[in-house]
Amino acid sequence: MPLLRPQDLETGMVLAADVSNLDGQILFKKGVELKERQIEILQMWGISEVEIAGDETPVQEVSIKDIAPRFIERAREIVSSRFKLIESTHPATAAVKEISIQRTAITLSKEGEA
Amino acid sequence: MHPDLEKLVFKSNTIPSLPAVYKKIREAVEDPDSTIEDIARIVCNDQALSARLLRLANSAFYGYPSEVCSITDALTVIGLQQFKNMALCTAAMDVFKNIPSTFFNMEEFWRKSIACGLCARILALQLRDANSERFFLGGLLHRVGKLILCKELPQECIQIIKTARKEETHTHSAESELLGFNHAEMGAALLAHWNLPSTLGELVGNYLDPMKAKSSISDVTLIHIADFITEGLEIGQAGEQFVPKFSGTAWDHCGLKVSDLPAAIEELQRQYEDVCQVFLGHD
Repeated sequence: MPLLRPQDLETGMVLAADVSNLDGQILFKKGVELKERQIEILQMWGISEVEIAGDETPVQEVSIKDIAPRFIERAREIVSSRFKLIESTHPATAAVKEISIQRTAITLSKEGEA
Repeated sequence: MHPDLEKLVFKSNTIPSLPAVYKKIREAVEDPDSTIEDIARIVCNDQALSARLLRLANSAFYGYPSEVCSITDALTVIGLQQFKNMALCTAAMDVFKNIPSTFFNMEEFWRKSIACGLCARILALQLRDANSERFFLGGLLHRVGKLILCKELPQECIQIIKTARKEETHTHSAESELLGFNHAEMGAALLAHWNLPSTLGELVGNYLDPMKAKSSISDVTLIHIADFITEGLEIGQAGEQFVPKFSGTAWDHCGLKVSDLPAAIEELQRQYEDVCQVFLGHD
């Protein structure tokens, strides 16, 4: 089931899961067909993404898979030097480092193409 | 408390005090007899504060479904306690507005602090913690001790930066080595000097080593983790060359899951520019 940001939603799409706000309060239940009003409400509540029924993702995000390896290599060097003093092998440190490398690689590739 | 630190904060007459408008707001909010209208009147007398309050009420931080146009509505949306905290954030920023930027870029410093506050609040919301605004405040002020150090001990600060670079270490290690105390302890002392709640001092004073906190360890762990995440992602810049140490014990204590991180970071990204605009945008 594709995950979409509210700005990428279109009327007629159907929610594949309940949508809650950050306080855990349910805004819309699974199975609701979206009209403009519902999409507006999702945007107003600042929902980051919702699960939509169906099996294809209509909008392609910039994915790390599309980034040239040289940018990923360079990003890994930059981030690793900032993480130099980290001794912890906790999975959370590895996760933050990996996300940081991805973000840096995307920025480098945007700058490289510009 | 280290005797030099005590002398620096409590026996000096150069430590800045909080702006008068903050004191008025604090008194009014804590006075059970005052009404929203009373507080609105104080806010309306301060143009910059009024503008910030309206921007905050209309920002992604609250995600309120319709436009908030009046000060009284904004106070209702935000809540009085939270408004008091927000007024403290802007007051602290105003106090340090005129520090020369020899040591680091002041805007980048506050951007980093805002990111840490947002991140801590988002993690708290993921853990279903109520009153999550206190985390924003703690994150926003977690490095405020650095600013006092720059202001009061500029020569020593140059030495600290040089030592940290030369020895490839964290600035707080260089601070402890040269001064006997670090910016986190300095920040807690400053907040005590300003008569702010001791729980806030605990958040700021122990964020580097949360398991040493005497109370609210769970709260402190979130500031520690938020600082680690925002330094790790290099959102804003507070003059650190290296990502700070990470306490696995603190992580295990707070109950977050590694799988919570991507959603938290995405939410941080979504709110970040908007909230920076609230506090750093030109009135």
